[in-house]
Parts: sequence; C-alpha cells; structure tokens
Amino acid sequence: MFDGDLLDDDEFPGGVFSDEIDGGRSGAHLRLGDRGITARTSEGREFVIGYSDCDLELGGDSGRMVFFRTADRSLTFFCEDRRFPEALKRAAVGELFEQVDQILAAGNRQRWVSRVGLWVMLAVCVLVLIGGYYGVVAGAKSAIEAVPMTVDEQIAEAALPSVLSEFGEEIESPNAVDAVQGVIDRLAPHSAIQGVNYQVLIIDSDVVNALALPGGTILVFRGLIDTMDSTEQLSAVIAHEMSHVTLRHHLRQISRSVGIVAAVHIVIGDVGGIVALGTEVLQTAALNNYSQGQETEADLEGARMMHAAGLDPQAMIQMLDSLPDAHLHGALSWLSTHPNSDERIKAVQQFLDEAEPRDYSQLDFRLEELRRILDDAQTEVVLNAERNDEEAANDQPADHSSDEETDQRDGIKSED
Amino acid sequence: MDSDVQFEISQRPDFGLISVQLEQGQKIFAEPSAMAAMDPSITLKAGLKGGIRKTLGRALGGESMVINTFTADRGSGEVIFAPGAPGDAVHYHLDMNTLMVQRGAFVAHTDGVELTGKWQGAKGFFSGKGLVLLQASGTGDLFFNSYGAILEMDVRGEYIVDTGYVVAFENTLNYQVDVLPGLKRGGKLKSFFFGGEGLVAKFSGQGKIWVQTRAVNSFLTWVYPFRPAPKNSN
Repeated sequence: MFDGDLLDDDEFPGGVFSDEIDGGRSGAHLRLGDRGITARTSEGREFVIGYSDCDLELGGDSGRMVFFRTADRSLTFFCEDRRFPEALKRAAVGELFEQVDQILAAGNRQRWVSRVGLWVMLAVCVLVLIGGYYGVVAGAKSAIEAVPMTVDEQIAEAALPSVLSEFGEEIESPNAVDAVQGVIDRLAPHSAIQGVNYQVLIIDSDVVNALALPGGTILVFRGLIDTMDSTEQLSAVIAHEMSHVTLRHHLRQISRSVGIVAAVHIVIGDVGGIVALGTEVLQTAALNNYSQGQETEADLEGARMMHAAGLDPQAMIQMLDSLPDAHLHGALSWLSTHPNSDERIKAVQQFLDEAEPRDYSQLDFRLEELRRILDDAQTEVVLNAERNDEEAANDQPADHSSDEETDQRDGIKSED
Repeated sequence: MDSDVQFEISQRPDFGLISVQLEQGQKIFAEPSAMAAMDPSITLKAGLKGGIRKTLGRALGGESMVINTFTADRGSGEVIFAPGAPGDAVHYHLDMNTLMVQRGAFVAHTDGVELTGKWQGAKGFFSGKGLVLLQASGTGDLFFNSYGAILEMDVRGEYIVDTGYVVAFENTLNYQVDVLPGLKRGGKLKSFFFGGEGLVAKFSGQGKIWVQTRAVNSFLTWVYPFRPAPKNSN
C-alpha cells in the first residue's frame, strides 16, 4: 500500500494526534514494545503510550481503525493495519487482551448489521422491481380480454393501407368474397368470442399466404386459393387465421413488441395509446409474426372450431403437411411465417385423437369454382373499367351493382 | 504543512487556480481537462493509472478512468490546473494516511498517492451522493476542489454536516447518514427514501472535514424559477 515503506514485522503504518505536533497530526510508524507502543512520526519525533495507561476504541471511516489513547486524551495513535489487533494482544501480554476482543466483537457486530441491512434493502428493491414488472405484464394479459374489439378494428383500419401496399391489390369480386365469407359464417358461431365483424379481402398475389388483421379482417391471397387441394384445407387456413383474431394474438404481440409501455397503456385503458402503438408495430412488419406458442394455439383453436362446425379437422393436418411439398413459383410465405409444421401437426393430431368422434359434412362449393370466379373477376375488372369510362363519358352516376353479379353469386352460396 | 511540490493556489475563493512548480523529472497526475496552462518543458501523457480495480474505482467515484500525467522531463516548469466547478481549491499533504473525497472533487495528486473508489454501502445508498466515494491514500500531495468557498473543520467528538456540503474528510472519522434531528417521522421517511431535505452526515471521532459554502443542488433549486421556459404560442 505504501510504496517504498518497508516495515518490520512488528511495525505498523498509522498516525498520531497530538497538540505538540504542528497541525495536530502526523503519519507515524507504530512499534509494539514490551510495555507500550512507540510512534515515530515522519519527521522523526517519538511518542510513547504505555499499555497500562490507555483506552482502546474502534472507529474511522472503515470501522476497523484502532485508536489507542492516553487516559487524558492528549495523545492518540491510530492504525488500520489488519494485523494490528492480534499483534497488540500478543505484545500487551494479557493486559489488553479482553479490551481488544471486546472492541473487535463490537466492530464485527456493527459491520454485520449494516451489511445485512444493505442486502435486505437491495433485495427489497429488486423484489419491488420484479414484482412491478410481472404485475403489469400479468395485468396486461388479463386486461387484453377486457379491451373492446373496436380497438383491434381501429388498429386494423389504420394499418390496412400500408398492408395492402405491401402485399398487393384487392380483387373486387363479391362472389369470391361471399364464398370465403360462407366458410367464416359456418365457423364463426363456434369461435371463442362472438360478435366479431369478419371481413374478407382477396389479394391479387401469387404468394401462398393468408393473414388476419386485428378485429376480423382476413386477407386471403390468390396464391393460397390456387395451391390448396380442397375447400376444407382452405377453411383450415381460414379457421387458423380467425383464431388469431378471436384469441387477440395481435394485441398480445403488440404488448410483447412494445413491451412494458403497451402493457401500461392496456392496463390503464388508454385506447388511443394502444391504437397508436399497435399501428406502428403492425407497420413495422411485426404483422403475422406470431410466437410459436400462438401458432399452435391458433391451430388447435382452428381445429376445435372446425370440429364444432362439422368440418373435418383432418384438413388442418393435410394443409400443414402438404404445404412444404408444394412446388410453386410463389414463395411459401405462409409457412415461412408459420414455421415448424411437424410440431404443430403433432399437436393437432393429439387434439383429434382426444376429440369426440362425429360426422363431418363438406362445404358445398369447390375450389375450382372459386378459382373460376376469380378468373372471371379479373376479366370483369377490365370490363368494369371500360364501362366506367363510358359512364364517365356520359356523365352518369356510377352504379356497379349489376345484375350479372347477383346471378353469379347465387350459384356458390355455401351452406351453413 | 509540508509538501512534495511547490505550489500556489490563487484567485481564492471564488475561482481557485492551482499553480504547481515541477522540478526536472517531477510528475503530477491530474484529471483530464483540468490543465489550463503549462510551460513547454512539460510533457503530457494520458493513460489508465493503477490497474483495473483502481481505475474502475475512480470511475465509480465520479472521476474519469483516464488520468493525465504531467512530467517535467525537459527542465523545470509550471502547470496550472483549473477545477471544473466555480469554487475554491485545497491542498492536502497525505502522510501515510487516507482521505475520503466527494465524487468528482479530485483535481490532481503527486507521486506516492493512490486514488481509487471506496464502496460506501448502505451509507452511500441513503446519502444520495453516490455509493462510492473517492479514496486517496499514501504519502504525497493531493489537490481537490469545492463548489463555493471552503471551510476546514477540526472535529473532536461529533459533528453534523448536510451531505450536500461535505467535500472531504480524513478517514480517522466515522460517519453515519441520518436525518436532521427533530424532523417529524413522515419527514424522516421521505428524506430517507426520496433523498429530500435534511439528510445529514453525522461524523464522530477525530479528524478534519472540509465543508463547502454552497451546495450544487440548492443552487439549482434557486436558479430553476429563472430559467427561460418556452412560451406556448397557441
């Protein structure tokens, strides 16, 4: 500690308080003699205190410094060297033995109390922080169920334009939409929450994908319709997406992404805050990026809904199974955002094994029809565009609900 | 008081300036940015001093990890150090003993002095002045600064100083953080847990304390109402 100060074994670094010294104090080397302690200051002066004529005290900033005083307190030596108390006991041969032990024990007790106090305090602080965090998170979890569906709808409404610009244009075909809506109508009465306002958008994209926006807007990509093997497989995808909506996975995902901030908003019921955060999260590509647990949850809930609605949930397994083998020009987006199908198949299979057997019925429209309607719709878009041009030229009010559309719709209504 | 280097502290007490005369080969160590002026015979070297533990200790004590070394290796010369805060500067000669210094108050020291941080435990937690104090020990000269002027007190027995006014004290003194005697119980709790008014350090034993004549927090509270606040044009 003190460079260049080589001390003998029985010499300790310390100091002296005395009015005889200029400034009242000085650093000193303390030497333990037979009858007392000798302090030699750095200026060479020597002071002596006899063992029989002294008071011992423990103190200083560390609480470990030994003070060695004359009875009239005119002269004080101090030393912080850890070896000093033991050496003092040995040198003073009995005279100070008990006094040293007493002050050391008192010092240890005090240090122990303050150390325990500090740890208790830190532990309380940590517990309060952890407790607060989990309290808010748990609060948010149950509070999500209390958040009205309109919040989900507001988030979807705000995010929809950017979602569409990212994935492609909507195919405006009321017939096709009705066909998909028919699947939803059949499943909806068996979903976890009622009164969800489902809306179907068919997206003109080769990508094999489907996704749900919060609040019930379900985007079905043309690529998915072209790829599925049966109407039941398509309905399995739709049941899966509906489950994301009814299980409020979006809000959970938002509260996970934005973390504690969103959780607090949700707990205190700050709807405007949730919508703003939710829109931001959905726009920063968190859309459709559910956790593995949520995917399995949506599979199981989807399978349960299908089973309850009388649709064969086996289609869910076929769909999960067939997608990886599909040879397609479009990317398998739905799988890339819905990974690990083996695990998920296992989970659904287990549900099926445990489910009560019942008879299943088929949906009464076939995929080929839907595909044809979509092809027609593409053509219709061109025709409509031409007609619109004519109408605009004739300065007529634009009314597109034509008779042909109604006619076509009749043929493909699905049975509830 | 004797010293290893020749020095002068001028412009006291408002804006104390430390001028140190170094003989050929002598060194002085100072916090970065403290040097205001120096003779060209002196060279400056920046570096971490005293190993990882001491360096981290200093950093926790509110000082820079880097310490600048000024060496008069091309003949004797003068270095002038200006502390950051408006206030006085103090010289203290360490004689094999230890001085505890408030966070950030260190300016410079000579060879033979070790500067590191010392964990204050519960005391530091409650004082609101940081968990770590600077600890200077060894044999040599130490320069530290205050905010405002400075009073040197020689304590025997007990003495109470508001934690915001303590600059330094010899380690022969023990201290406990306490609330002002006479404060009501509610006030005590508030002080303890929210660092409010009336937190004091109760010193006991024998040794010197340096007390500054202004506290930064009190000054900030005083100046706060006068700050230019943006007006809402709507």
